[in-house]
Amino acid sequence: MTDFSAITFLSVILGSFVPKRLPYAAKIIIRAVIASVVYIPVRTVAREFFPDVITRVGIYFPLLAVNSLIVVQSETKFARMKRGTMIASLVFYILGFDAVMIVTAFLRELLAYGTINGRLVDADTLISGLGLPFGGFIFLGLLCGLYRKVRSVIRRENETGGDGNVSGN
Amino acid sequence: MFLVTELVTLLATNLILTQALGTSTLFIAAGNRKNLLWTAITITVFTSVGSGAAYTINRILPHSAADLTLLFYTLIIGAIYVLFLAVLYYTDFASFATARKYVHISAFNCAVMGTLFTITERAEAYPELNTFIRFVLSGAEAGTGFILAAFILTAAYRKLNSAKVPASFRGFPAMLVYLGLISMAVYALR
Repeated sequence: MTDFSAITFLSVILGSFVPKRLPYAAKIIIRAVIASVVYIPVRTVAREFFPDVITRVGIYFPLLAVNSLIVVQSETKFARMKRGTMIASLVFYILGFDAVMIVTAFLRELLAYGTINGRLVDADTLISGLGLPFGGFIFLGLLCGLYRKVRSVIRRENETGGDGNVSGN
Repeated sequence: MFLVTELVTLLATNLILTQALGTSTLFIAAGNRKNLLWTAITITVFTSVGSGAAYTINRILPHSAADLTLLFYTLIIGAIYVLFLAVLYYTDFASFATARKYVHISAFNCAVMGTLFTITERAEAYPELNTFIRFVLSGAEAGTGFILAAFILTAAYRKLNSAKVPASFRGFPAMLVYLGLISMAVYALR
């Protein structure tokens, strides 16, 4: 998560200095190259502090450098903002991604393996399938739907003034 | 029977369904059937040519410089990206404006990069797979797997986005659950 945040933040910030008048393809290539260069020191530091994690994450680790915030959103969204707004927006995007990662990883680990951060807890029912890719898809889909539902309920509450009146009168 | 066996093999080695690689690209392209097909075909070109180039990089790059692998893979994909756009521009200028968006979506994503890293990892584990031909074939296989996943998603795309699905689950969450169920079936095939 720290690596994702570091690679994304540094890559998008450095990428914002790419001249806007360049063709789209050139800008995307330069941004991807920047992310690949940023990845090198981040990996070195990560290997120093979390050597087990690097091995466990495997091929997914380098893929952090081609995440959608860097190769898609940076050009379609962040490049159109002023630098200050862009940095603030980027920080919140990264925090949002991190929050999703923490919640999903916490629940998946607990429900699939009965552990929290590798430490065994007293969980009676385990759903081992949640630890597999298909479990991840289904679980993330359900969480996403649940989040949308909660958000729409809160929005409706706010629109009706929070007094429980949904008739509009 | 041969076709069925090949289809099952393709599904079982599919990077989207087995490793969740390239899912976001699939969802971006899933807007309409034409988009999906052309994106899938373009990704297949990227994975096939990219895998061949990745083999060459792996041979040249010393093991001590393994951290530079991503950078070189990015440069390879960048070169293929430019080459692809140039070929499109000079061969079919009329449809260049339409076709280039598929190239933009297909170039840098987890489907392509994930394929290069997966094939390399597999070749390290099984030395008999460490040949140029095997790399290109594996790249083509991964791309074809993407096309297959694209068709599976397209088949249900409209229904998953229809008004019959509860608003909170419509679209992205429903597609994730749907892919999860397909992925579960594929897992059983392995």
